[in-house]
Amino acid sequence: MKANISLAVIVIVFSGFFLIQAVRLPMGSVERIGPGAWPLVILCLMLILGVVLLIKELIKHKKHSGLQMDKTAEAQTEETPIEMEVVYPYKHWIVLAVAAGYVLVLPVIGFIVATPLLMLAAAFVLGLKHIGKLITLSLTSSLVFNYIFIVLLSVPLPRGAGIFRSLSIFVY
Amino acid sequence: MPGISGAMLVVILLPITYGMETTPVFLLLTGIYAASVFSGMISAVLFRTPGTPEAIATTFDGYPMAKKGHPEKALGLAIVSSVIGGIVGTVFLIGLTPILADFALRFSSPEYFALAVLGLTVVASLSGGDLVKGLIGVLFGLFVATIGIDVMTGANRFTFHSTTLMSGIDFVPILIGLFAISEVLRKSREESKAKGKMKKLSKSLLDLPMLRKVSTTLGRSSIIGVFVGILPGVGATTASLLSYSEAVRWSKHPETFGTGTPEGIAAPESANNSAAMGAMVPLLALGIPGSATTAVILGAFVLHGLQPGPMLFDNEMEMVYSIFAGLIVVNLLILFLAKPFIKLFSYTVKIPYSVLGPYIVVLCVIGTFAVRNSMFDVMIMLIFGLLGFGLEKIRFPIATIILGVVLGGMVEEQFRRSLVAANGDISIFFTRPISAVLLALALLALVFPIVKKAFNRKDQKTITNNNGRHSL
Repeated sequence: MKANISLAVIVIVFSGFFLIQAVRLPMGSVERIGPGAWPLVILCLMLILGVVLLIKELIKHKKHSGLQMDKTAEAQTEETPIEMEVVYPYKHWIVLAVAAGYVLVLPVIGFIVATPLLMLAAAFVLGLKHIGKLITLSLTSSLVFNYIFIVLLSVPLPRGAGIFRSLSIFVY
Repeated sequence: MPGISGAMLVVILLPITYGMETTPVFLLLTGIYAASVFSGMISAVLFRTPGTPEAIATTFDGYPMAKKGHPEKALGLAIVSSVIGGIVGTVFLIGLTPILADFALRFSSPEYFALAVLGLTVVASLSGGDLVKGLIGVLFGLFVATIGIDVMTGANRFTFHSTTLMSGIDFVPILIGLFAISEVLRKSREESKAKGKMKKLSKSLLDLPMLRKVSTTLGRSSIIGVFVGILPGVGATTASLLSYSEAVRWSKHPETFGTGTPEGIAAPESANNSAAMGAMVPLLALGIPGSATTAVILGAFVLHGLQPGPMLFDNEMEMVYSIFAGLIVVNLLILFLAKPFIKLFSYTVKIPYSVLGPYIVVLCVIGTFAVRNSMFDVMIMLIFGLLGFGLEKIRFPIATIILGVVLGGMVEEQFRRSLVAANGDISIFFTRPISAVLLALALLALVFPIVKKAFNRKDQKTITNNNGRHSL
């Protein structure tokens, strides 16, 4: 329930912020609608729905607290996550950081070097601890990716800069 | 494979299709779509874990039958039912799509606008019971579609002087982020172990006397499936559940359902496969998606520079008929390749997520980067991945965002074009018969679930009141 209230507030702030931007755009006339009119309508509707969601959740919240519902029961009905069993509640942040790191270093060290490093890091974070398996996975997968996307499909993947660029030119 | 839905598979295979000709691309994607609906039942029968949402109803009787010691019978029946459902669905697809497309040739801007609005009402079924959140999702998607240079006036919208944002936010990073990256993030929190063990299947999968017994159920469920599938927004999951309940209603022994009765496997499996084919009818003929996966396929068409709809039959007739033929072949191949496929499946289930996850991440990065050679798009993908992960946690229907992004450009452009043509007279949408009917249908599609919910609540109240009186 708290999550839904936060969602409603985010929707209201988001649509409010962009509404201010939208009203600055030309609205045009009914015959020739300007670029601002359509986003204005969308953002107004979004704002209204954000308010509706907030009111709906607040009423629900009031009802629940009025009934003095048992906290555990509430947690079970409202906050039950979709996941079956969450064993590592914060691991998604590490995975996201690894992926973001990969994206950041990709233009610098290029696809050929960055990909085995990502495979290694991501597999380790996701639970593969055997060093031999980690190295095999990272090397074989890189070969597979390089063969499919660079050799077969000629996708212009980032080459990197400096020495890494020279290395990539040597390969493709 | 549990955790990889048809939509996600289409998404992660998109990068492989970039350099290909359009016909093989859509043969591949629609083939995957058909096969994914079928394969969801394997883990549903063997592990009670539906591989795809469409296979939920198959667990009801499939798993009990397998548990009784007849996994090969349950799988065999599910395979044959899937194939029959798939073929019936494809035959209807081949018959109905050209007729609908021919009719749609009379459409101009107001009708296209009305059609896009009707497409947007799919939100009612994608919302999973929470229409307010679903509508917020669609509106957010529609808003994202407005970012960049306005095609009609050339004005910059919400670009904040960024040259990268001028070309807009592409559909692919959003799609990959919301569907694939969010799933990797979600799975990373779970134990990385493959679940379930496979028993060896030595006996033949086909049981002819049992098939004869369920032939009526097969026929009925396939037809139900096609028509439910054609309706915009009512997907294969609904079709399989509906045909399961119809099978119970028509059965002489309804009490046997849930204990491993053959009808309980035949009904949902034939219906979900025929519905999946049915959902392709509005996609190909009108260009509106009937489900989340067909929305993704619609995106793939746009990505390859094609607009599904009536013009597709004129411009790309060869491709459309190749897709039709391909779907028939896929359905027949399922019949012959099912047994080796199930064997192969027993190995793939054993791949832990710590190996699968990194592959998916790299495929997502390549898939996003290759569309426009832009690292900015890859960043957008990661942001939408985090957004999708957070939204799924609070049960937000993320497919609605995709719907808004996919149909956003069309709905705005056609709306504005219609008003230019009509000199600003808004009644053009209601005086033209086809557009009026389509808009009325859209209104009905949106209002019906609300009215139904209200009636259900009223009924429940009456029942509880009556029960209260009885107990007094």
